[in-house]
Amino acid sequence: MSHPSFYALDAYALGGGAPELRHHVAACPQGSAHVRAMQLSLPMPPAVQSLRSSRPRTSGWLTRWAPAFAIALVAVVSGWALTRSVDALRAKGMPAAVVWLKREGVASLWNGQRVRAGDEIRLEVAPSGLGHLAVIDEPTGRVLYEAQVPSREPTLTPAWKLDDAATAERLCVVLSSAAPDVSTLRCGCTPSVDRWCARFVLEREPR
Amino acid sequence: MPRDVDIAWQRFFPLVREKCRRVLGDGDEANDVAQDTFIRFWSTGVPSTQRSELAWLYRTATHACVDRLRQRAMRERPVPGALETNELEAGAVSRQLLTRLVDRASADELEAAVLARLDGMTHAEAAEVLGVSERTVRRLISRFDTLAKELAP
Repeated sequence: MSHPSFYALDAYALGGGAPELRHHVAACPQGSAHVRAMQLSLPMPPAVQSLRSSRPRTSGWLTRWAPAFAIALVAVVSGWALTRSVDALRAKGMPAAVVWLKREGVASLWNGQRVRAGDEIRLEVAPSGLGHLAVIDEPTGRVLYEAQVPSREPTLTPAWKLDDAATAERLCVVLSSAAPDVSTLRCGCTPSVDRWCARFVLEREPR
Repeated sequence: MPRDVDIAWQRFFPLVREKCRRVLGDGDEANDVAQDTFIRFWSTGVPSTQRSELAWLYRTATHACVDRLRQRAMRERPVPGALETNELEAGAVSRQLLTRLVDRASADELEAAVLARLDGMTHAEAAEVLGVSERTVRRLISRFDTLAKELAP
């Protein structure tokens, strides 16, 4: 894959992007640096702060943002203080998945950084109409999580604590309209007409 | 009570600002244009014809940046003459080249060049952002390149 455009990288930073793009960002220092820069918190000037009392004109905004608040509330109760939802990040109309990383009690959106033993990870998925979710450990084909999920609302998976393995974690997130055969799931990230996939490669810190 | 504009700001402003910096440089002007673009985005919303908020932001920010380049060119009156050959040979459109051509290229040609050369977009991506066909994008960029070659020694 040739180097993606800034437009493609920004779409990825918002939670979208093709599976190949995720792999590229994980492997490319410039790409991952750009994505990290897009996730920095910047000060809000007074002219923008004054907009807090207003609502956006587009009627769909509140519908899209409302699930973000529900997700944040659930996450706080369970010990994960998530500040935004995948539904607030994805491009309009597309399924998306993001990885949350919790380290030393602090949860943040995974931006490609290397992980270590003791880190906890969980996935947040926006199904966009596909009601079956599966998470697969790609090297072994083991299905880590599988469930029917609300097809129009973001979903959080359980959290997994990372062990002290030396190899990268390779997860495949599969969204489909119906529960697929187990043998199909174990084939990993292969999209089709009624199946959306995303692959996450979480490299480990050197020992 | 969560504040929606805070979420939108955190999500979109960094990429809008970086996009404006690629065209206008790192100064206050890029920040001003990015802020104006965000305020317009929040205040007017995204038309239903746009495929995504990102495409709308890219198009609106590009248009605003090109306007600023035109204003800057009128103020600074760039020195006429040929560009350094290596700028053209590198295949990259520098901000200086854009400034030199603002009086000669149309707004559509400049915007297509910004998207393709500074943002590194494919013709398909640029077509999506501009709301035109890929053929139109190729034509616009071809015209821009013709003008750029006229500046070569």
